Amino acid sequence: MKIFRRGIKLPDYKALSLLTPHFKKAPLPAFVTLPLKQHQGLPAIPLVRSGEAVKTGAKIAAAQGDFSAHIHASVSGTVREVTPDYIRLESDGKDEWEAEIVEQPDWKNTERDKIRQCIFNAGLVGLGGKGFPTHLKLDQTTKGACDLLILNGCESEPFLTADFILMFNKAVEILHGARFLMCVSGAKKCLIAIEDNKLECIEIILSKIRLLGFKDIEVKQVPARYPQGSDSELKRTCIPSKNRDDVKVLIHNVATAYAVYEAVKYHKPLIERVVTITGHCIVEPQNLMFRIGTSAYDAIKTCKGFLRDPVRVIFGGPMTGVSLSHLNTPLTKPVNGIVALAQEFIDEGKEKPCIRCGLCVETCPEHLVPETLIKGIRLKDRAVVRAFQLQNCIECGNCAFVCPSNIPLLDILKEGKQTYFGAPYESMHSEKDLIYAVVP
Amino acid sequence: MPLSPKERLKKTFPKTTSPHWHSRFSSSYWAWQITLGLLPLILLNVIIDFQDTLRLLIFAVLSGLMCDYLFAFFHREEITIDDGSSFLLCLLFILVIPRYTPWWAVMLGVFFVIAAGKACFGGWGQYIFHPSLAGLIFLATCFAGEITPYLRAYEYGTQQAVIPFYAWFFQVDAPTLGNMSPIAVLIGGMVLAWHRRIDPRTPATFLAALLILALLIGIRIDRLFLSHPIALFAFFILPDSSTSPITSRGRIWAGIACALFFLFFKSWLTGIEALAYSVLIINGLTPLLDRYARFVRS
Repeated sequence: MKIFRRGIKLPDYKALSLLTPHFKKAPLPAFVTLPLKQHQGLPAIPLVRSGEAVKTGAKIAAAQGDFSAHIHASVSGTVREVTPDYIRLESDGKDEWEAEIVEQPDWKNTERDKIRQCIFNAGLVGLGGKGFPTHLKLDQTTKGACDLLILNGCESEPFLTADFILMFNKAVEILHGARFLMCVSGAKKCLIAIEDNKLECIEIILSKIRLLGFKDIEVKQVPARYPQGSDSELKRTCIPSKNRDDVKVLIHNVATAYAVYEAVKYHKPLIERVVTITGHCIVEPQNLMFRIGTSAYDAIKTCKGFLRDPVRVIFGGPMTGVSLSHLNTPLTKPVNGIVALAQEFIDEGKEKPCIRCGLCVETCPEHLVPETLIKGIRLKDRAVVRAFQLQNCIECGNCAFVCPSNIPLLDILKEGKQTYFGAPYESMHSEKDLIYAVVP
Repeated sequence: MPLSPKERLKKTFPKTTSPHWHSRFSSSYWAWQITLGLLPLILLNVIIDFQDTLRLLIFAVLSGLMCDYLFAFFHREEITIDDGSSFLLCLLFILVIPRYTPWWAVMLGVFFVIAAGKACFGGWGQYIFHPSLAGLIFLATCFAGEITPYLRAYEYGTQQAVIPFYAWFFQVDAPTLGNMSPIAVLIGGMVLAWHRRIDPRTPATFLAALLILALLIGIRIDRLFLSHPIALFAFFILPDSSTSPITSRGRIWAGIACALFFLFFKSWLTGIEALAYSVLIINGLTPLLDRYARFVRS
C-alpha cells in the first residue's frame, strides 16, 4: 500500500441518484435538437431537408470521411429545421422505427470486419466524456495488435452514477460488448476496472462472468480516488510497472461496450443513453435512458424540476464538466450526467497570492509542479514550461480544487498548453457547439 | 412567494470553467490551524512562566499586527492582518528569542520580522528566509550583550548523570519559551501532521536523520533534544510553507540536509543559533532543491 498516494478522495454524492437503482426509459421529448458535431473530428453532413418525415433510427446525417460519426434520428416525426450546426426534429409521439429491432441470427459469432462495420453504422463514439469515434479508436489499435482491453467502469467523478446503473442492470450485455471489442482489437485479455466504492457491481459482474464462462475477462478492483478514470491512471493501476511500456492497451468505457453490444446484436443505432440527473437542487435525482438531443430543460423536468435555485448546472461531473448558461442545451452522445450544484459547493472567493503550500504538487496524479508551471506560463518562460513538462498535464482539475488561495490553476495550465503545445484534442463541449435556439 | 420547481427551470446561469466546485479550504484557515497546533506549548508556558510569556505575547503580537497594518496602509495595499500569517510569525518569534529579552528589543525584533522579513519581500508566500529566524539573528547580532549569552549558556543536564523524566514535559529553567516542553510541541505537531496541515515528510526525515547521525557521532540524544527546541523547528519552522521546498522529494532532502547542517554547526555554535542558521541555509537552497528534486518523465 502506498502511503503518499497521488490524487484526492473527493466527497462523492453518489447516493443521491442511487435511491432508485432502476433502469427506466424517459418519456419521449416533444422536440429534439441533434448537433452535427457530437464527437471529435469533422461534423456530420445533413441528409434530410426541412419538412421531411423521419422515423426513429433513420440516418439523418452522414459521417464526413473517416474521422467522424453518423447521426441518427432519435425520435420519429418531422424535420423542423436544418442548419450547418444542428438538426431539429419534432416528435409525433408514435416512436416508429425505421428498421425493426430484431435479434440478428448467429450474432455471437459475428466476424471482425462485420463488427467494425456495425459500430461505424451505429454512429458510436466514446461515451465516457471525450467522444472519440469508436471505430477509429479500434482501427488505431488493430494496426499494432493490441494486448489488453481495459473497460473503464471507474466513474471517479463525484455525483455521476450512470455507469454504476449500467453495470448494475446490464452486466451480461456489457460482457458481450467487451467480447466484441476484444474480437475487433485482437486483445487476448480484458480487464474491467471498477472502483472499490462500487462493490455491488464487482460482485454482479464476477457472477455473470462465471455464468457465461468468459475466462479471458477479469475484474480489477481499483481504489476510489479522483482521477482514477483517466487513461494514464488506469494504466498505472492495472498493469504491473515492469512491463508497462510493452503492453499495448485499449481503453473503452463500459457504456461504449453496452452500445457496441446493441449495435452488433440488434443493429440498433446510438439514439439513447443513460444520463444521471443529480445534484442537491433536483427534486428527484435519478438515472434515466434519455434520447440523444433531449434538452436539459426536458431532462430536468422529467425529474420534477428544481427544488431550490441552483448556482451552476453542469454537463458531466463537477471536476471536468461544462457549465451551461441556459437549459435549452441538448444532451449529446458523450454527456453522461447533468449536475445542478447548490450554493454551498461554490467558493466565490477571489484570488489570493500563492503561499507555496504544496497541495497542488501533492495531489497532481502526473507528478507535476503546478506552482512553478503557472509562474512560468504567466512570465511567458518557455524554458521553465518545457523543463517542468507541462505536456503531461491531463487537466483533471485537482490542483484548482484544492488550492487554498483560489488560484484558477487549471485555466492557466490549459492556456499554457494551448500556447506552447497546441490543443491535443478539441474540447468536446465548447460554447459554440452547444448554444441553440430557444425551445418553444 | 417562492418559485415552483418548474418555474425555476427558466433561469439562466453564469458560465464558468471547470472545476466547478472547490474544497473551501482557505490559506488563512490553514494559518490559524497551525497557530492552534502551538496552543499546548503556549498554555504550558503560561503555567510555568506567567509573567514573561504574557509580556512577550502582548508586546510581540500587538506591535507585529500594528506594523503589518501600517505597512499595508502606507503602501496602499490590501490589509491582511486577519489572515493569520503575521500572528503566526510573531508567535514563532517569541518562542525562539530568550524569555528575558527586554520589551524594546522585542518590539524592534518584531518590526524586523514583519517589515523586513515578510512585507518587504511582498507578503506571505514571497519571502525567502523565515522571518522569525531572521528576526532572531537580527537581535542576536545587534544586541549581542543582552541576547546572545542566554542563547549560548544553556545546555540541559550537564551536571546530572541521569536526566529526570519530567524534563521532557517541562523545563523550568529553559532560556526560550519554545524549549520548555518538547512533548507539548510534539503533540501539536503530530496532530497537524496527521491531518496533513504540515507535510509529515520534512519533520520525519529531519528527526530520523538527526537520530541516526547522533548515534553515529556519539552525542547523547536526550541531552541534544532537551537543550535545543528541535521539535519546534522540525514541525513548525522547517516545514513552513513559503520557505521550504514544494516538491515531495525536495522536502525529504531538506529534512536530511537540515540535520546535517545542524550537527555541523553545533560543533562551535551552541544552542538555538545552530538550528536557526541551518534552517536559514535550507531556505536559501530551496529553489535548487526544488529544481533537482522534481519528477521528470522521460
